[in-house]
Amino acid sequence: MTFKSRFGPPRQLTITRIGWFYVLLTVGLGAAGINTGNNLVMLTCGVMLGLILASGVLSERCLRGLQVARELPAQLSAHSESLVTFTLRNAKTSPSFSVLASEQALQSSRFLDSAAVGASKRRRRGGEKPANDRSAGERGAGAGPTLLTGEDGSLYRHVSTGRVQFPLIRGGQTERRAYLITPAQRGSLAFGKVKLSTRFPFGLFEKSLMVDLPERVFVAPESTPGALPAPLPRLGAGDRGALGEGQGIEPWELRLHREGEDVRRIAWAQSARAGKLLALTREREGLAEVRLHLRANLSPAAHERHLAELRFSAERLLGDGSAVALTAGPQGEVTLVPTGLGTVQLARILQVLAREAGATHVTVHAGKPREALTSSRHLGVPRFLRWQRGLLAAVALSAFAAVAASRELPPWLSASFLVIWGYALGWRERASAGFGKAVNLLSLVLLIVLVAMTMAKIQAVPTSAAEAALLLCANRLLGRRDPSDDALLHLSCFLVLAAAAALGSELWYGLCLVAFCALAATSLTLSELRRGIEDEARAQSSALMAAPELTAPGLLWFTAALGTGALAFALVLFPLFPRAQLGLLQALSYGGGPRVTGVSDRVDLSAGGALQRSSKLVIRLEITDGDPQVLHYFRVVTLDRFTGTGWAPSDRHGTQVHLISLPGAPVVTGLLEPFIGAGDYVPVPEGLTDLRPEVSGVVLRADTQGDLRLVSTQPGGLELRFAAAPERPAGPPTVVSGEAPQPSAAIRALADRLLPAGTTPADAARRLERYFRGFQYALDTAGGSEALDAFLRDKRGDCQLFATATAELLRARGYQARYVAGYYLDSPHRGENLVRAWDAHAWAEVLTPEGVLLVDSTPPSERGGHRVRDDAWQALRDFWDAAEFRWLRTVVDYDQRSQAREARRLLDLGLKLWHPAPRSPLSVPRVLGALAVLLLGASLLRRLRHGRDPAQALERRLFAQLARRGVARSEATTYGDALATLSRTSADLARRSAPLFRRLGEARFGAHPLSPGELRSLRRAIDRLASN
Amino acid sequence: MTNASAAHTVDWARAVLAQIDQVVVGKHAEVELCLTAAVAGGHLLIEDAPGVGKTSLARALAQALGLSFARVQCTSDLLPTDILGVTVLGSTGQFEFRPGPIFRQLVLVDELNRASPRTQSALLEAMAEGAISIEGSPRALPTPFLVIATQNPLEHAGTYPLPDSQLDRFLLRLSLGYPPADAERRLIQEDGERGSQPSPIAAGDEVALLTAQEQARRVRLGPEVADYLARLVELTRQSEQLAAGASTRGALLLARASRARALLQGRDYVMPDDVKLLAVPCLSHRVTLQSGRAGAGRREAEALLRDLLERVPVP
Repeated sequence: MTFKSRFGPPRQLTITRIGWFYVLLTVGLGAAGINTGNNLVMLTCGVMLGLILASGVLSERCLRGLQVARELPAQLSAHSESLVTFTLRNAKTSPSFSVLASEQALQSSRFLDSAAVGASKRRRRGGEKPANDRSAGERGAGAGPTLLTGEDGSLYRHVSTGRVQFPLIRGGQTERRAYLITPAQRGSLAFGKVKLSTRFPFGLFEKSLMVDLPERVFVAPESTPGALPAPLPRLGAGDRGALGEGQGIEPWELRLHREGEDVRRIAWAQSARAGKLLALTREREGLAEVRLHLRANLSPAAHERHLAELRFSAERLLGDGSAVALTAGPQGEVTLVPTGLGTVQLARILQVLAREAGATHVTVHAGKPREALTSSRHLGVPRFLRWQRGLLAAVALSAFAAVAASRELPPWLSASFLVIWGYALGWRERASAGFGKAVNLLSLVLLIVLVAMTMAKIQAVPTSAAEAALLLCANRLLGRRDPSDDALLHLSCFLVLAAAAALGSELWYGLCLVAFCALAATSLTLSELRRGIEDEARAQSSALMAAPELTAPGLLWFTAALGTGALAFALVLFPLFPRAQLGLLQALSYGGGPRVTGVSDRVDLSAGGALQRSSKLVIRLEITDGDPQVLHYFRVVTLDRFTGTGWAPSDRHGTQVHLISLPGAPVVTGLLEPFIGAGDYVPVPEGLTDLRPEVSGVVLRADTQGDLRLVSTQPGGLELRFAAAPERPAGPPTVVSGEAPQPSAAIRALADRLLPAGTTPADAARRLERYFRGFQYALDTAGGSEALDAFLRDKRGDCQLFATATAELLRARGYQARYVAGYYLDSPHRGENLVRAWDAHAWAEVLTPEGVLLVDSTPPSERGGHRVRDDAWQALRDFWDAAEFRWLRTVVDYDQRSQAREARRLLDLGLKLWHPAPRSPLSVPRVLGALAVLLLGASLLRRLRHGRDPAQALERRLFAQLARRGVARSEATTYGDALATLSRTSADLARRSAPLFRRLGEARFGAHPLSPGELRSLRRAIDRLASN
Repeated sequence: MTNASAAHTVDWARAVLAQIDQVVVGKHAEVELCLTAAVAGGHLLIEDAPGVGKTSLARALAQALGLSFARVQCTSDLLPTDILGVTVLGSTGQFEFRPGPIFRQLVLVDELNRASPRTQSALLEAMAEGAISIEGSPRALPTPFLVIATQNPLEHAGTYPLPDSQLDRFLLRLSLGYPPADAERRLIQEDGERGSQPSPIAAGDEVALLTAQEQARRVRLGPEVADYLARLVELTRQSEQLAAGASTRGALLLARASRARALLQGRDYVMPDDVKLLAVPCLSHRVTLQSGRAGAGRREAEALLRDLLERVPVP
């Protein structure tokens, strides 16, 4: 045993071409994910890794427990086809799919002619072959496939390349398939290793193992008719009866009378006894004895011809029943093979002829494929594999649903993708070679243009990736026709998914990914099975793949579950991806666009309308106690510098905290989860006088504007409980905003008209609210410096304009007023409330001696964007929103800090278990110890109950049952003894227990162990034996 | 070995047995033993009184197996050349070898113990080696090669009992015994009605037998069964009633016969049943009783072995 065979890997793994694409894409996506910190890209990468893992496990399941044997014909002949049969036994209970058995000696060396090897290699790699195969098809169009019947009645396929594909070997069963070889010369032929390989399930990797089956077989010379040598003088019949039927006197045999045969041959007495017509034949007279003489000193060509003629003579003479000897030497005095009869003698003679001087190593050339069939309908592909086309469509749709959800890829891209796919599914079998070349060239040019555009930052990387995927598809589908195109299509879908991941972050994406995984795994598997069958059928020019048994619909469910399993693996892997944000790709990264929250510290008066369509979640509010009706307004940021076209924060630095305090505010408790990125403004519910952080690590701080900002010192989290405390004294607020900017003349004039001198701030606010009641709410107002004037003139505008006008009018009369941006919740209620980007609202605040007064002059019906409906649809919507909220928080926004937090939590858990609190029963050593004791006890118990061998335990059980029926067993009772005793006492019991004994015997003494399922069914059968 | 080829062999064996059963009525178990010996590639010794169908059995076996057949009737003046063949001056003026009956695939040697020790040893050498030497040059015997020898245990006058070492060359020793009463009655009744003995039809040729022999070699004999066999043989050596137990060759041949029987039962593994069933015919002529000559105490030896078998626990 060599070092390699002992310590080397038991399996060899090669990556197919499509597998390389896949691996490169996975690595590329991983790099992109790590560098950009885009979690969805990482998730996609995780799914791809999961599929690789599943592929490894499944291919191992395919190869494990396979036993291969080669059956060689006793005799091979030069220039004639012989069958070499592979027998594959699947010793495990689960089936093995798509296993290829191939001869390594034949593959690697001179046994195949180079053209055949080249063609088969190309075919194996799934590469181009239309030109080859088409011409082959034309050559052999008239020949038709060769069907050969084996001795057990099964049909063998015509195989020509030293390899045989087994599409399915069910658990515990044996499959036989053969290939043909045609030796070119006589001599001896050595067979070596056999490689068992499988690309199951996805065709990305080829796993193989080598089985050493060294065997040698003689290749006899071909048979060429020549002159038959004269027989030796005939010997007397006497003692030496001749083998064979003839015209002699002695009876030879009784056999069935053949139609048309002489009726005088019928042996009437025997026929009457047998009930059918029997013919009595006579022995051949005497025995001809012939010596075949092997001549020497011939030229090589003549020598070979002489050998071929000798073979013909030997076959002919032995076939006629003569005794034949083979001699050599000038006078024939050397006996090579003594006189003998029958097929055994022929074999002896042929062996000598095969080894006769001049024999070289034998070259075997593979038979050429006789006919190339292209349509899968003719290739014997099972019907169930043809569903794969529908599955492909579903895969594409699921990928595009993700794209559509991201709403970022250009619509033309999506549309053309779908068109290409339609083409792929409908017409891809009608491409021509010249057209393919043109498409190749065009694709190359387009790819260069794409790269150039990306480098020049004319378009973003994800869009380019999606376009490249489109190109890939178009190229493969328009130009060529190959089963591995299906795998490429899947790859392009992965690319599209990655692009969508970079652009969007909706929950839709997650759902699409689940669907995609399940469908893609199924589709890839079916594609691989189909490829194996089609490939093989094309090579063998025969539609005789015994594949109709491949109709396991369970396979579909299995692979779908596999895909979902890959996603689960991706989710496990997901938190572990490094989130270093190395920034290598930052130069090229698209960034995903600004997150829309509806609120920012720069307000442009024309931008309000854009928010109305965005359903982006901003706050999740869970109210557990108190009156929720006080929580309409959520302040986020206050702005007090009006620029004429919008609002901006003041430049000055404030120092004092400006507590919002309104007298008599109610207590409300709940959980506020602002969902906006770190550093953004955190909403503060209006009407709350006190914010008491109940989670450690969150502090309340005033910013330069005097606004409250919640700052979390804990990484990654901004959660707090809030409560309003009415008993807190509402002291006079301190004004931090200094002198107001000067309002325009028109504003001043209007303010003078509306607000008489001496009006209190609260009164002024009431008057303005009344004034604006006549205004119309509209979103299509123009922005710019004229916006405010136009609003006051036309009396129509959005909430920003209402708030700006209110604040500016108050300021014009000298009141301390400012602009507030935040959210307005229509009808807050107990339980979960979701605030979205479209709930963004703006209002004004004015300072009164009692505190800050909220002035909202927007018509009440237009304040919130959130449409509330109390029906099932709304409940569904809320459920979806909650799910989306979780998705966003746990997946999309998972970052380095979350990773650290999770790690710390795990560490804490570990520490807690290792150093448990006093009297805690849980600790790692204790838990591990208890587990070990439990396992040990269970195994001991099992061993006590069943013994070491489950078959032995079953045997005891069976004999115990039989003892109840009065069949005693001594230590020397064998199964046969027991059955014999049984058949004397109870024939029925013997009949029923015979198969049990038989199976037990197989399990105990043969090498056919019981599977768990069999174990159970046998146990049941034994128990039933007693019940009757 | 594949299931398909094994099934093929079982079918073949069934056909052969059916053919022989036509001729040798009511002796299925013994016929099966004969076939087992043939598949195991061993020779048979049939000990019984004259007229119980020994010759019929051998001839039927040859015909059913499709083997060439010869019969040698042993007498005290039978010479080795009568069996092996002679070199004579031919019509061409050259010496040529005329092979004797031993060059047939199945040779029936009747009343072996009547032949002189010299002839016996020539025959038994041929059986052991599968080849003979004539005038110094070796000649291969045909394959398959099977010898069925018969002995009459009752008559001792003018016989040369086989020594133990030569008995060892036979794989199985069995006795046919008289047919069951009803079978015998039918035989008597039908004898006149039958035109002649039914002639078995060949169920296959020598290739089928060679294939079966090859398959039998590949039958699995698991460690438990090997252990059982070893214990059994060990017990024969420890037994106080036996002067000599079974030899290692005896154990090996028993294993070979067990493999053949397993194959004929359609199994690719040996079970303790096979060993137990074949132990008596395979070992009874290889053990020496404490008292008396070997062969004479055949019944005692068989009874003793049966007794031993009941004391060896099966796995």
